[in-house]
Amino acid sequence: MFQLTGIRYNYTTTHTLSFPDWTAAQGDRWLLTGVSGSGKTTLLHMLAGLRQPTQGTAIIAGTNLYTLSGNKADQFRGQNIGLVLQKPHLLSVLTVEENLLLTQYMAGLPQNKQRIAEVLSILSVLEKRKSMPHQLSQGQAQRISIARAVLNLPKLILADEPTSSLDDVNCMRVLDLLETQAAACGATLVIATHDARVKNRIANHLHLESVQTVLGTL
Amino acid sequence: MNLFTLSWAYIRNRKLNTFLNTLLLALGVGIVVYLLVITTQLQNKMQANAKDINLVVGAKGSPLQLILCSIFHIDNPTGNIKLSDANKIASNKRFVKKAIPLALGDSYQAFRIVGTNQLYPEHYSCQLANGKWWHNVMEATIGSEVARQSGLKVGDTFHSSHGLDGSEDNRHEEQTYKVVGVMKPSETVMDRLVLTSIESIWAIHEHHEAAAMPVIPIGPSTKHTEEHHDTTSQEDDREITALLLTFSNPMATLMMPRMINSQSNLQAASPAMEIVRLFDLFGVGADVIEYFAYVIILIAGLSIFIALYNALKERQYDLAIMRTLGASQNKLFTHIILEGLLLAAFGGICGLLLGHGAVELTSALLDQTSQVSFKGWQFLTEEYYIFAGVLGVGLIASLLPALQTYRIDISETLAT
Repeated sequence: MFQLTGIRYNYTTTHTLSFPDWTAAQGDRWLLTGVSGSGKTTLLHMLAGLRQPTQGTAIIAGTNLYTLSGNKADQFRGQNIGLVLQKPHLLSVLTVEENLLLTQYMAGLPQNKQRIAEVLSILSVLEKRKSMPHQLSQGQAQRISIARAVLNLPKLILADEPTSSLDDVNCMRVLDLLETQAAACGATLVIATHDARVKNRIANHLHLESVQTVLGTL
Repeated sequence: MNLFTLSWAYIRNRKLNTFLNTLLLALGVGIVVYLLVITTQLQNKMQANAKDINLVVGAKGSPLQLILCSIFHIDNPTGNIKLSDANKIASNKRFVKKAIPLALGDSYQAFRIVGTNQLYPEHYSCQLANGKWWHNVMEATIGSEVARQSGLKVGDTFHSSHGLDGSEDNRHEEQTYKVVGVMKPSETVMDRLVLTSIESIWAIHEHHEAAAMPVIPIGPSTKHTEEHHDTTSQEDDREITALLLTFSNPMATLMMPRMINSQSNLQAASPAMEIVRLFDLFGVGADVIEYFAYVIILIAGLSIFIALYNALKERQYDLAIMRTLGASQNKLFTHIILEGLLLAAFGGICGLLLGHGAVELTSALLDQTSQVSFKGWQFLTEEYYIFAGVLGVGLIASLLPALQTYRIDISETLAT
């Protein structure tokens, strides 16, 4: 489903991260682990096309991500990649439903309230449809952000520390939701985490070594 | 959901800020529009009233007063001139095409009574709504506004009072006017006048011989052209207030004023020149207010800029999220620009309504007491330019904040 080869990222001229080659099949579930600073978020962002590596290629769903022009890359991301972040960060000026309509609009897809209601009811937050984000509990907000990630039926769902600020009950619930939703749309799921509670649930691990500093020219 | 509703949601969210921006813009635009509408309507009205009148001849005094009094009927006469002098000028066939005599001094309910001849309403192309034109002494044909406000109809009678203030103290009880006709609205000063014959005015002020007063022709083309031999001796004592002249010959513009002003008891005033002078006089005040209004609009633009620029810091995360959802950089740019434009358009529309509302209010306050009236909901083409200018202010104010969106590093923003 995706294939990363020879990815290197220069933070500064002397501080370079190089990542192992990584291949995943459609529908796979992967855990991306490693201590803080090992480049989990950087790799995840490169996988989402939010950041360009200094070197290397990423083929995602048959598309060579880093050769796409700016607008094309944005559109590709909107339609194929769902992102779940550590904090839900819904747009505070919009209702839950408007947040999800925006998700369809920004991806350049038709706006479909029925699909939104469907996803919200699966995540059992349908009654919050007309609520503003500040009226939601943390767990509800995190579920809406999962709804946002799966709404456009992406091929790849990337979750960056989705459980780190949640208690045990909510942590398991979020993982359940991510797994079932990824399965429901046949998406590949990658969870970047250092949360020990997550590790036993998913078989495929990619462990990033601690900071790999390379001195001199490469 | 689209960029409009998205921008609008952010505007709605900053209620106080939006209120301030709208207030400033509306105030600035309102003042500019108010001044524009008032001066334009005033100028149009004045030009319509002064149309084709090249010169006004009256007693010595302020030329502006003479024009205000004889053309617009909003000031008192400078004095009277001898009918014989007026006739001399009116009979100058080489230069004078039309001469309209006016005898002023009385009013009814603050509507001026004008003793004149048929040429006067003809000059403004007035038509009768009903009844007929005045013919005999103490007959009157009234303007449409006079009829509307006073309730006078054909067949009614009324007493005039001395002066223009319409007070009951100086009523001429001895003589009674009879309304014989009502004019159609003409959008000129005619609408607010009571027209009668000059003889009626004389009759009131020299009532002892009023009834026997013969009809005196004034000017070369009055309707009453028959000559009365027995009147020549009386002419010397008779007076009128002013004579409105139209020239038949461009040379007259140079010759007539000099000719008339050389006579010690007469003065000639040009309506065109006096209108320009009048607008110069109060134009200075209007200009100062207008510059002040532009400063307010500028401050409104600055206020929009500051609002958007400050909000950008708080919104950096929102904008990064939009990028992860597939929004291109150009879309975010448009989103911010649109917000500035929406704010400007909203303020601009409020300003237009405010300006026109103020004109309407002014008109309502003036209506009862003044000869001047305004139409609040008449829109001018210049207002398109004002509105476009306001949108320009919104565009410029949002340009820098919008350009800042290109510098947002999504990955950095989301990682913090």
